[in-house]
Amino acid sequence: MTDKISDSKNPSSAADSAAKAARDFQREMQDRIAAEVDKRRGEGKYPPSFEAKLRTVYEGLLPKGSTKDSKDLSHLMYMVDRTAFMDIDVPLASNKPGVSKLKTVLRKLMAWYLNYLLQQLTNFHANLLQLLHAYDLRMQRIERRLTEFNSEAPALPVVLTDDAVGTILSHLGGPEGRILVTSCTSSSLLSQLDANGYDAYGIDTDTSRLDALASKGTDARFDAPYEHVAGLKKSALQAVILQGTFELLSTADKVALLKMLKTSLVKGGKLIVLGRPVASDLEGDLRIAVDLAPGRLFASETWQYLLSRNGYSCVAQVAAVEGGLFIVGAVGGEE
Amino acid sequence: MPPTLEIHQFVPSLAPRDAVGQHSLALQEFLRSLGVESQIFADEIKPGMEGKALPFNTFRGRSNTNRYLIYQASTNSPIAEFLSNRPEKKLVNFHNITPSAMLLPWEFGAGLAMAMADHQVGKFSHHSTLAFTVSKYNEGALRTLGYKATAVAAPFIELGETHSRKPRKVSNGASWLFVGRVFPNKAQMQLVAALACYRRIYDSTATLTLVGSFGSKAYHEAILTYAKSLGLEDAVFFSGQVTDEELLRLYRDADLFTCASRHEGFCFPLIEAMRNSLPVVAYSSSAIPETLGAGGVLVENDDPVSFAGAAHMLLDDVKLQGRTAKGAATQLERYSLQRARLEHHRVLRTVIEDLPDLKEETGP
Repeated sequence: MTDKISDSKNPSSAADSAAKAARDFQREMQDRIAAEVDKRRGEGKYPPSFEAKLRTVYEGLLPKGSTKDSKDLSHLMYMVDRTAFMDIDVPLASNKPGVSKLKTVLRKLMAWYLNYLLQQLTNFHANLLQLLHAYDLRMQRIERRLTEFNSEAPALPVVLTDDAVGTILSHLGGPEGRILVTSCTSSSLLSQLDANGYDAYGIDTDTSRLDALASKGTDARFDAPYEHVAGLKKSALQAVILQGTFELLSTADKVALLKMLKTSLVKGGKLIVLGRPVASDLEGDLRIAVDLAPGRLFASETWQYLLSRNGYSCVAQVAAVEGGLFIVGAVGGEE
Repeated sequence: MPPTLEIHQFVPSLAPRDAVGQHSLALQEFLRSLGVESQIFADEIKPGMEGKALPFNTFRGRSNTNRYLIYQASTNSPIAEFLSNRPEKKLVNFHNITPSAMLLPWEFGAGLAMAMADHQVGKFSHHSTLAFTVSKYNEGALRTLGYKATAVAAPFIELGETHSRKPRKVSNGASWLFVGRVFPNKAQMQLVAALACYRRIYDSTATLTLVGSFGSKAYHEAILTYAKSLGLEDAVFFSGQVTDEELLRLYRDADLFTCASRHEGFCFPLIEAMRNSLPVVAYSSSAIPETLGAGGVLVENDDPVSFAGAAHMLLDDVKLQGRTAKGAATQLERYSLQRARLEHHRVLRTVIEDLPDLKEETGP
């Protein structure tokens, strides 16, 4: 009881120290949870197709108006259209004797006033609706041009020679910290990082190829680059290797991704961009993927320019690889 | 002789087994114990509460410098306008309002009501001498709504006897429990996803019991369909509303209290779980971290795999359960009735200078 009385006399200091202890405890818990999850994913216990199903079934059950689907917007527009116009035709029926007549009289008496107000409201709503429809049309046009992932497009393959992998590993330095590899099923890079003792994980949206990778004990997850990086904590990664589909994102999405990644990297963390030069003689799947993409391939100089403009340092082309690939390295992270 | 100090409360709805109602009754009892004249006025007086409150529009009386009115702000209510026109000093006891964006796609009417409540409570800030609430999270919401003078005081919770249980490892047939009405902000669908992950690798016979009224038919149906799609139709149970005795039994029979709620101004079921020494895993949102403290494991990552991993960590580790039990004891002390009295007294004293001194208490 003595403790409680002393706490009561100085409740704020007792509460502060309890709150600090709780924060420390929960920080420890987050590390343990992350380690447990990494371990299980690393063991292939959660095939990416399983996690993809959890997400897609969930999203399929969300009501209209709560997803990113443009059909949702059409539904909301329809609802706005339906409710924009108002009248003063208040129901007059009543079970009580005489009340219906009273309501009729009241409505007639107030009609001159309410109609005046309502007319102004309706004019405003009509203008607003017109504006919304104009925006909707423009939005649809933009969405058609900038679909992030065209489901009909083949994956962008990344063929890496042993030399290229060696260059990437030496640029990364020692196997310290967490490394993210995008479009991880596009190349053998993730498996090679694993084999060399790096703490690496990958993301992709091709569930069957992800499952194949995960079954070999590789930490490969179902996610798109932009969404995944948006959910990362500050300084969560030691290095990031951008390869594959990211190259075909729109320019605005590429820049947004670079900005987010700068925050996700530890101070001094490395970003490696695996790109391919703009070429007119692309063939096969590569030609199709590029033609169907919202964005176009950037040259090494363009990546270097964008990285420098977005706060990365030590930006330079590390190597040009056989097969047309180039490797751009940069250092990111914030104080 | 100075006029008697009067502090009256105005509650949108006084209902049995409702947190706001229980809190208001406890605050009234506390004020009366100080010798303050205190009455409750309500817009809705639900069956079982007759005689404990008067209709708010029956409140009369001339302006009295020694009379204060407390508005229990929890939803949209005609009481706000009524009080705005009263000359007495007004205090706001805020209980948080669920963000309308969480509800609109599922329950348009409820979402709209929350948006209106938000607007109304914000507008009332001009009339408030002091706004107090039960969590720092809520205090932040008050500031956003435009309240300048704000404070935090622990809620009045009638805690029964703490029920101790020996920490135990559970690796087979784990029983997860969540208590809260079936509503989108409570995120029961996320619990179903977490259970699917948990059953996949840790315990294929684990179950989830969802206790609470069916506040949203659409959301209830979505949970059912989700559970069925994931092959969990025989593992997820809805109990609906239950009696106090049944609820106590559920807390005591469960192995783990799980909460994925996206918005809580406080989260009373966490306190109830801790009181029953039930291990807790909760998603770290809104006021949940401050209510739970170290009395359970928080999950910061919005990922069912992480939630399942945390559940396994706790159910598999007796030592960790011991640590959270200690954390729970700290939280229960933090939210004791004695602490609520002390903090409310301190907060009210800042604006009601002649509030009588608190009588010395000898126990929690």
